[in-house]
Amino acid sequence: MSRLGVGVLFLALAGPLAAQDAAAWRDSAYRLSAERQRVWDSLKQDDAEIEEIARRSGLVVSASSEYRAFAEEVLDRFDAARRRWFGAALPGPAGFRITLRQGESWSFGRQTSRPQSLSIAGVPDTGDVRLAPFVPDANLGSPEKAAQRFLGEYGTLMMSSAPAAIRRWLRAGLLLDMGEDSRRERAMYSLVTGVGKAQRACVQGDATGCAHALGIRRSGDPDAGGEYYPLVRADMLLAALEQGGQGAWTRLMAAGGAVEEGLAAAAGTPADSMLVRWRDGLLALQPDRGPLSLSAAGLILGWSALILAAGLAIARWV
Amino acid sequence: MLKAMIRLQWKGCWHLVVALAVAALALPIVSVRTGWRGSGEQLPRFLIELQLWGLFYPALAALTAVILAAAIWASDRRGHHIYALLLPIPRWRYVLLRYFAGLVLLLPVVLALWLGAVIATASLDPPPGLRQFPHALAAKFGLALLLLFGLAFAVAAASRRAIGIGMKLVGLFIAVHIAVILLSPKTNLIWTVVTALSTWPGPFAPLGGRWMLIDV
Amino acid sequence: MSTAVETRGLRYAASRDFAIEDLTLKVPTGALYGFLGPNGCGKTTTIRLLLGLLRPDAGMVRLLGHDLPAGLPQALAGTGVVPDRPHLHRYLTVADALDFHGAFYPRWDGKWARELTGEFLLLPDQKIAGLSKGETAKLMLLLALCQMPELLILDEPMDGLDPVVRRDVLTALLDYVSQRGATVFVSSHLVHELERFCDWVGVMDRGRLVVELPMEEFRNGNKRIRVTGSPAGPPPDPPFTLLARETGAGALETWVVRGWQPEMSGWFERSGLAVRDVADLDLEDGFVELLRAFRARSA
Repeated sequence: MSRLGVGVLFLALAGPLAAQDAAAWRDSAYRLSAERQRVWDSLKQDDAEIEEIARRSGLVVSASSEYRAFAEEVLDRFDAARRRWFGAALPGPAGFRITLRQGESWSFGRQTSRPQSLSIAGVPDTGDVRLAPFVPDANLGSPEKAAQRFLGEYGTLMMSSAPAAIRRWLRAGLLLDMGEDSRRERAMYSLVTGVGKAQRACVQGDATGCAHALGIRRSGDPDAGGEYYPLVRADMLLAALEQGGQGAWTRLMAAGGAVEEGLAAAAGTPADSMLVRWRDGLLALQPDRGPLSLSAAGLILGWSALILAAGLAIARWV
Repeated sequence: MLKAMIRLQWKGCWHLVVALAVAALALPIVSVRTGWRGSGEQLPRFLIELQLWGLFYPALAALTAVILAAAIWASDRRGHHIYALLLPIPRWRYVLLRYFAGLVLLLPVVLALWLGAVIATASLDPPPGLRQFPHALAAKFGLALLLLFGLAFAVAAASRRAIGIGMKLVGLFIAVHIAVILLSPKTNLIWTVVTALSTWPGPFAPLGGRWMLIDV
Repeated sequence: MSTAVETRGLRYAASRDFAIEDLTLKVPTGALYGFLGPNGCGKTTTIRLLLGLLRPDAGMVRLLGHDLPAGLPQALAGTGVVPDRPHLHRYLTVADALDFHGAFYPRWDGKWARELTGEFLLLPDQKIAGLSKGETAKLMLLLALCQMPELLILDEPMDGLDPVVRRDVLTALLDYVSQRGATVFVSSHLVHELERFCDWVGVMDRGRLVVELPMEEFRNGNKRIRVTGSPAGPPPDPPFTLLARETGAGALETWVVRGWQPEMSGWFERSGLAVRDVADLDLEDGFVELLRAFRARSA
């Protein structure tokens, strides 16, 4: 089957997802996964031999054998990142499998120095295709980019088993495939430039304001103003997971539908202190005052004098 | 003598100075106009775009430095520096005259950028949390231009012998770099040098960082 | 005798095949010194060494009493230079060039510069790039003169100029010299050009100074003498310099000599020779014979 066909199929099957509730969503996901598996199997025949490259702490990476070093590095990076956010938790009891396939559209043809496809599975991978997203156009340009993409897909898988209330509150997912620095920077920008009353209060240190602006606590004030958009919520949730350390994700899942309680449980601290800590972390990312510092100016003047002296020395025309 | 040198260099370079000043005036205005979105979710995207526009400031400084330094020395180089060497002043004094007269040529470009930055920020009403830095940005541009002009000026003024020695040193460095890579593939001498130059206290360290007309 | 320009043992290897060797010359203060030599003999190289544009391998250069290279700026302050090739900034106008040049010389005479601009028929607003060869030559001389120098160094100033321009240039130069008593050091490969106004001459060939003497001596001391009854070998201790000796019909020989004085006839008689005829050699012939003799000796 051609890649165009895969893409059309993917889009066609993705259509129903948008309109369904959780149970129907899971059914659709199973059907979608089954289709993906059939497509994957057909595509797999086009590849060079795919084989298991390495196993690490419950994970298996598969690729063509000539990309062993690449695959191992992707696995190590992915495992470290996965543990940071989710600990040892898995998307479901049947394990998972994510397969990335190198895309053509983002470069001048395929990069033959990188594997055409890469697969990571969480054992026990019973081959149950319920949880096996297949990503046709992935950036396999470097182990770092590949691991980031895996993490993004894994985050989507994990969220699919999260309580509906948390999924609804989060809206856009964990956005783990976005670089962490980029995500935090955007979150910081949103935090600092929020114009609503609650948002301004949050910037100024009021945890209640943060809670209202993040939509985790209802505000009785009709003038509270707008809420932060999904990226900021994702950042806050990830901050809570990181703060909570071991078992944070499990505690978040265990809280059921109560978002604020779930976040506080994940962080392992009361909600207000979690919010203040998150806010302070973002404000710390604010750049130094202005584009220019006195020390930078002094350094430039010093180097300019040195360069002028060197210029005088080398301008000996006789 | 300095006045005469300024007049001489202005005569030779005024058209370049005007063109570069126009570019400097336009840059801050265009950077803000194409992306300004007053509030809400669009603001982070605007700020990210403004960060990308920020790359144009050091690029413009580098372009200005190279163009003006080359233009300043073009006539002397064509005449093999004979006119300069026959003047009744030491060579180093002539070079200094050229340098300081060159700095005067840079002023219109820096002032144009400052004016553009002031115009760009005057037309905006940023939300709380955003600060505007037209003066600091222009000052950073001016200092970057000073540094890069000094470098370009030194290269343009260099004798043939000095340039020959310089090229040989570069060739030797590349040869050593290749040899090192063959022996130890993970070692990258060029990258080491680039890093040393662009991190504190290297000369290019201050040229990095944020070139933001408006920032948090 | 004080000297405006002096070199001693100057040496410079211009290339593998050509070098200035052991050049020792003295230009008396106030002299109009013609620096003569065929093309490629090293005149321009010597001038560049005098002006500090080249660094000698050995030897001493003194200009207006200042040793080079340490005293070069002070020496150049009193020296007006017209190099062999134009060296001006071509995008300037004539007026711009005068203003710029004048800024560097405390004695610059701006009024005379404007007058001379008119006399030379130069337009102040004209770009240097648009000037003809003659106009450029006049401008370069103008710049050199209006500095009010004590020493003028001119490298082939008349080369390629039409007679009208040559006359203008020469007139301006001589006017200045007669008013200011400046020293002039002018190079050329055209003997007749220098003969008209120089009072000293130095002849260069193949990187060496062949001779240096007052022009009068150079002009009058060269003779072509027809001699009979010559001895087989070289004549013993002549009081003159024998430049060339050619055998003619019968026992007649033609001698070309330098440094001839009439009373030297007695030497011929004592040597058993008979002088048939003594004829003046014009400057160009004298120059050619001088070089021939020098090259023969060098070979």
